[in-house]
Amino acid sequence: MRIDREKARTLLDRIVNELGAALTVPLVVIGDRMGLYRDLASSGPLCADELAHRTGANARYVREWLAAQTAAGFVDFDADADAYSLSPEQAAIFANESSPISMQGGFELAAGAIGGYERILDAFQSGEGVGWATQHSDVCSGTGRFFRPAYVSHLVHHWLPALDGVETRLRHGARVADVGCGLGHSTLLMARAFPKSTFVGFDAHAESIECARRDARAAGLAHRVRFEVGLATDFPGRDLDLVTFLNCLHDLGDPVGAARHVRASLADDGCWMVVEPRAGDRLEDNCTPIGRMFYAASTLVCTPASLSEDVGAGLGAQAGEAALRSVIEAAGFENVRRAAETPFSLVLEARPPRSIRPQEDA
Amino acid sequence: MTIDADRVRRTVAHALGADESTIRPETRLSEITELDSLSLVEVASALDDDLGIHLSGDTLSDALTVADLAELARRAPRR
Repeated sequence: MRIDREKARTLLDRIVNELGAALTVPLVVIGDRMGLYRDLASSGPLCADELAHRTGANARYVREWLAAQTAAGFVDFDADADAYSLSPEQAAIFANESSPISMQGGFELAAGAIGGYERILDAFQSGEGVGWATQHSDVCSGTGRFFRPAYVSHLVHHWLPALDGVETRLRHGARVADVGCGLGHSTLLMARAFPKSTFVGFDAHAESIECARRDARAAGLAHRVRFEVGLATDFPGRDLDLVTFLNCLHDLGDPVGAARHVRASLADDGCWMVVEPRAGDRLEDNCTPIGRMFYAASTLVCTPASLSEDVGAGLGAQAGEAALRSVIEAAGFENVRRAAETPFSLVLEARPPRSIRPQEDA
Repeated sequence: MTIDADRVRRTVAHALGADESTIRPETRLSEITELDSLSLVEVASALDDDLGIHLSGDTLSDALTVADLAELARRAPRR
């Protein structure tokens, strides 16, 4: 087969960008951990030595880091003043943790996933799964931070109000289980917004639950929000008004088993909200920058997590609405509808069938 | 100095590119615009720049209406 010179060149040109981006991932995490972005945002413009001095980092490393960040477009450089600064946009993305467009979590997640690639390489050969608890700890913390800005922007403002009658019930006092809550960011956001309702966050990962409990206490919400280690297929609770699954259904080994359990846990007029990464039903629909990112994360994190559990369905993080609906409907839910969507997320609302009292495993 | 709810209302309207006469205290932020993360950043940065009120993203998540936002602004730390 002859190589088309132009096609090869185009791909090679792209690869230069790809390698630069990949190698920038740990640099962003280092900048986050060392407080370099935060200090530039609060005190810039600064020269390299000033930034190093202020953050306690080695000056030669900081200078090289700043050069790499400037070349990446993540930091601004004024050559005449020999000074570095962050624009308001760069600061909102890299320096401000509570910003709705904070992206540090994505880099932390990526760094953790890259760091653990050898385990995934082994898994490719053995076919075994790799659960969240055995991933690098940056994967868990990074995932929580990665999704949090989207929850800050959309969960209370957009997704819950899109569910039929749910916001009113939350306002008057509802019982809610947030399953697969991870570090509990989503649970705490809902609890803050709906002070008359009670929330229990469940996750299989004990360390994440510990962190979530700490955050609940720190936020003064521990009286209305509990966090418990629990599986999606057997978490306790009956007659719940709302069960939420935020970006976790595809991670589960047995999503249909989880769906059956949700049905048994809901009140007759309860609601199940399933938020999943937005995707088309076919690979060729998802060859987009977002789809690409999710497929990569899915190969390194989500699919191994699913394969580490019983059944090992391996839905993948770009399952698409048709596959998600078939999981939900297999458990006997009716009236499954797409309630909302954003460029990253798909929000499905599912209701138990009318007038049939659900029995688990019936 | 207390934060005037009406100034918050006008600032939010301006930040979201809306005609301020159409914005009432009970108007939901999601009615003003298709609310996304960037529009929340715009609201936060306008409140910070124009009124010196710093609201974190988490706090913004609680505010469904313009009146909610004014109440948060009243309680928020000032520069």
